[in-house]
Amino acid sequence: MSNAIETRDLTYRAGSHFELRDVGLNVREGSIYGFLGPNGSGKTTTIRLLLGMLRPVRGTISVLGRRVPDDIARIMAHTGYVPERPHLYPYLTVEQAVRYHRAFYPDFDAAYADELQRSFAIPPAQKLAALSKGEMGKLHIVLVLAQRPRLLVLDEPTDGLDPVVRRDVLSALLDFCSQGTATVFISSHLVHELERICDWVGVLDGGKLVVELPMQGFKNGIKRIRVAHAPSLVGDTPFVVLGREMSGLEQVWVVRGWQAPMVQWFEGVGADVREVVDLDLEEGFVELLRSSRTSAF
Amino acid sequence: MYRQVLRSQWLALRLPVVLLAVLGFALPLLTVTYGGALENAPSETVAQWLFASQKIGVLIPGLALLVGLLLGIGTWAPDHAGKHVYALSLPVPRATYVLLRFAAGVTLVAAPVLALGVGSAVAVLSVKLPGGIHAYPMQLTLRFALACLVCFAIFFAISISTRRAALAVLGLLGGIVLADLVLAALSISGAASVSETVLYLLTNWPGPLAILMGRWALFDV
Amino acid sequence: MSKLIRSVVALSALGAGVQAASAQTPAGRDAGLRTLLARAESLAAGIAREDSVAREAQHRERLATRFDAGAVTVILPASVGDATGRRFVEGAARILDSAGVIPASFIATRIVVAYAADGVDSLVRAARLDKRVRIGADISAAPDTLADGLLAADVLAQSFRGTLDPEWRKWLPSDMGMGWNMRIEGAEAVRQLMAGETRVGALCLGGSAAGCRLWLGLDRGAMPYQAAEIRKLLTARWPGNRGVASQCVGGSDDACETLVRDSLLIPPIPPVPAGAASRGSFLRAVRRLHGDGALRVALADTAGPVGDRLARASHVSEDSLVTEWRSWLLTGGGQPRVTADLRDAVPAALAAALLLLAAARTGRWR
Repeated sequence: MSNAIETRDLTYRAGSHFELRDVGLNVREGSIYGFLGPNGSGKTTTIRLLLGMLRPVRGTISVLGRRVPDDIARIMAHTGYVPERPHLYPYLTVEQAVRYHRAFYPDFDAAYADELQRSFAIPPAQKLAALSKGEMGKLHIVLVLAQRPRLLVLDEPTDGLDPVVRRDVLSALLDFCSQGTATVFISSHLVHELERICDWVGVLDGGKLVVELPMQGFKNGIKRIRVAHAPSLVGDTPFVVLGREMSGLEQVWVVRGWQAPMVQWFEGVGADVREVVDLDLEEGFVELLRSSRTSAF
Repeated sequence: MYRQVLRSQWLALRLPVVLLAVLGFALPLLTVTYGGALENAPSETVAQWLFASQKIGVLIPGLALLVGLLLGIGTWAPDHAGKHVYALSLPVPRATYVLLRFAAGVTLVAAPVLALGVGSAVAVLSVKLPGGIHAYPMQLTLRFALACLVCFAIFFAISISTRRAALAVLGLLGGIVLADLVLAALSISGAASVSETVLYLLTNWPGPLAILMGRWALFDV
Repeated sequence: MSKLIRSVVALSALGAGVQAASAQTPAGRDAGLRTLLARAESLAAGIAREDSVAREAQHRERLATRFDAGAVTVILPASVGDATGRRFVEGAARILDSAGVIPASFIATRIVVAYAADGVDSLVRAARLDKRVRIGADISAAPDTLADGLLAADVLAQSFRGTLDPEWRKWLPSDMGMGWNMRIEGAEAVRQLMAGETRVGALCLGGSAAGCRLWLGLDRGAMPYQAAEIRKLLTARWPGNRGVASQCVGGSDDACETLVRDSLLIPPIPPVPAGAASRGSFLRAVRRLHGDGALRVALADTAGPVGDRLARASHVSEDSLVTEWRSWLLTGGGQPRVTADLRDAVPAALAAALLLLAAARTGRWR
């Protein structure tokens, strides 16, 4: 299976305080890829690099099998982009904005746009400047979905929206994905939201891609383990140790890639596994970030 | 695509376009009313028409400058507000998008130009000119159109340029001023002022600003 | 003054001495007189010496210095200074060269001599300038009067004017169209034409070539004024009407025309309605539109009225000439009327295209 988005050694600098370093993304075609990271980690910058709005210092970018920025116009013809902040012209009405957008996409599905508009209850004669945040967010989704894109790039699409609107937006997205083989690249810092819809996850922190793996592996693989009589020094382990700390007479280990038979390793080093706790995505995300920022064990 | 870009630009700029068109229509008519209102002269003398025509005529290149400024800067204002993200996300080559914006802008510039043409025609038809004076509505309108085109292009390019480009232009201007100061300090006799030379090249044929110079008058000898 | 006082004192002393001597014995009187005389002579000699020194100093100050530039030669007092003198003569040469009206061969036959210069004769002889005609000029030594050489150019122009035939001498303005102060004169010429004081002026303003010819006085013998206009001007300018003037005011058209034709009034009603500024602007228009050579040829022509001479020299009809001048004057010295042809369109379109190209390659989107 080919990648809808692929980057190699992607590096970008802005001023002296921000840098993206050697980011290597692999977004499989047809997947829903969650691009996680705390605020300021470089998610929006990465997206802008993918869409040719910024030029990297080094590295290659390939989107839908074409090079960025050489073929950017052809790439964007099949890409729907919802930015972090609304970018439509505020003096247009909803209807005018749809007509404007439609003029650039020959495959624009006007009927589908109407249907979505109705289901989202966006008033067509309303000026964009007068729309609420939720309505504007929904309008963006209407426009990009009606394009019938092969790739959807969504930068924090539900940020600042109330739960009802968030649910509507995510439902529309899932509905769209179920109709075809579009790839979705969605960035967010709201981990629990992505947990429900993404099948791949990449974590960006401080300009570096910390990890990229299937969502299931991410969710299932991170555990908190209570261990008694654990050795002070640890050599090679069959799992990735994300962190260790004392808790009374016991140690609490946070590991990734855990599987049940790995209890035997602890027994091999004379330790006792007292408890194995599943971490949800958010807890696992936090532990992952913590471990990537410290040079602990 | 062009129609939608034009529509969008019209919706953003309709107020300045209408105002500029009103001004364009009014200036030639002002010549007639001003000429007729001059004191101590009979109503239809050559001197009176020439004087009025010249006095009002100098406002016409000023109007061209205003057209260029408002519509050239206004064309890019909506994209500036959104940091050009929407424009950059559209599936058109960048140069094509610039051309679309330019073409739509020039179309809007046509409004005050046509208004000036109509106003000139009305002014000419409404008066009986004394012998020795002729009216030049067509030439005036065409020259105004060319002047508006140049002014619009200048401000259009300025508006879309980067900060670095703007600094480069400012640096160039500063360099010209500095060269003049150095020449003055060294008291090099016979050396033409650099700024005067640059101004001369820009404002005399075939310089880009030559179209704004010269004699602008609806009624002339 | 000190010389006068010294003379008075000397004479008084002499007188006193003589009086005193006359009161003495004859022998004593003779000796006393001789002493007084000797003292008086000595005083007088001293005064004469001082006078001579002063005159010598003055003479040295006024000693002539010659300056040359091109065909122009001027002789100025030495007190003017070399730098100022040089600027003066070079300025005059520049004005006359750029005007191109007076042939260099004529200028070479003249020397402009400042009244205040001394020792000119010896200087002229030594420099073998004897054959040149001297033109005396009241050129003061104040530097600001000499800054641009205008004085020298002016006296040379008047000298040249004096060699022309009476027709030209009567018609030519004093600056001969060389335009010492072109901007002011241009504005004055337009004002004169637009003032509308005469019917021919109004006709000229309205585009009538015949009106312009009459207004400029180009046709010999033609009367540019209507009798009523002469009466009006006369009443306004000279209320003390007498003789022919009274007859004119009384209703005699012939008397009115005689007044103008024969310039009987002081100050006169000018024979030509167009003032000096307007006639000067006409000559400038001829030079600008047909070249300096045309004017030189016309000035050398002595056949026919002034208008014919200028038309022949410019190779156009007199009507065309005055029409060109009218348009040239009213458009502020030949500025083109509003035009919109290829010559205007191509640079404008090119400029717009280049700017569009620059915009399309903006680094903002790279």
